[in-house]
Amino acid sequence: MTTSTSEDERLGWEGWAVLILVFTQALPIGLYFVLFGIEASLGGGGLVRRTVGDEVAVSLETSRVIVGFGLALVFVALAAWLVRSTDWDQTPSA
Amino acid sequence: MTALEQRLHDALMEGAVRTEPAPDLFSRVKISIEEDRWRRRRLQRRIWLVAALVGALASIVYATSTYDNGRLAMQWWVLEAIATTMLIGLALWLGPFIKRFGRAYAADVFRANPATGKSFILLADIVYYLIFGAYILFTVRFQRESNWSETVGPRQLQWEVGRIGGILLIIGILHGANIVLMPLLGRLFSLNRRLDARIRDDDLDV
Repeated sequence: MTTSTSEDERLGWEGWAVLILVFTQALPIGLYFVLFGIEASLGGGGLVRRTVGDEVAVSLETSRVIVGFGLALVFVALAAWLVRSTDWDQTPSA
Repeated sequence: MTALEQRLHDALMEGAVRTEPAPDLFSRVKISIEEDRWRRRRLQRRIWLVAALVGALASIVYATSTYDNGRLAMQWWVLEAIATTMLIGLALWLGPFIKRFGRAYAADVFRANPATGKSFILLADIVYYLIFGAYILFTVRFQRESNWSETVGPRQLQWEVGRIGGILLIIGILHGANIVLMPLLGRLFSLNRRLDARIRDDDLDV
């Protein structure tokens, strides 16, 4: 059974840094971009009003770029989390 | 039940009564089930990882492409940037990935002098990264080639695929050469050390 100490040893400080960055930065920022892009393309919403004020004129092209890069950030964050949270070498009998 | 089946049943039951189950049978079966579960989980994670990377690539393509007459059109520099990022990612990922499998091999080759083995692996890593870095810098394009169109076309696609193939070839050749050369070098270092020791002993005898 994996204990928290061995989990700490396995991840190391780089692993924890990646996980903290994923959950506190990359994932929320990516999701924010996606929601912002969708709202902006629909003519604004709560998120857009809070960020850029009432008036917003975002073309479909721009909103696609925002949504696309937001989604990419979310996927990269998920990939980083999968790589770091999985022990690729250890087997139960090891 | 036929007579033959009855005789087989009796023989097997008789054998089973005489056989004592291994004391660690339960724990072995448990470990085997856990291993199987762990393998399945690792395979699922691998599939999710590939899906996430494909999703990231598709999102970037979606963000940077436009639809023109039913065709997806991407600026030439976007593909160039994607290919360069992929090359850097390949170089950074493949190095440690291959090293993970080569650890036992290197330990066996340099068993007589592990400190030299560690230095050798470190120096080999530096050489690899220098070669990968040089390759990426040599092949990156800051200006559109004369035979490329403004948007991504077959010629540029051919070039970018060739770049990725090139780095895979370099990694393959370097690691292939390393596999062949490492035992020779390990043996040479070990003989060198023994020769030094023998010369020292001879000097002491004189």
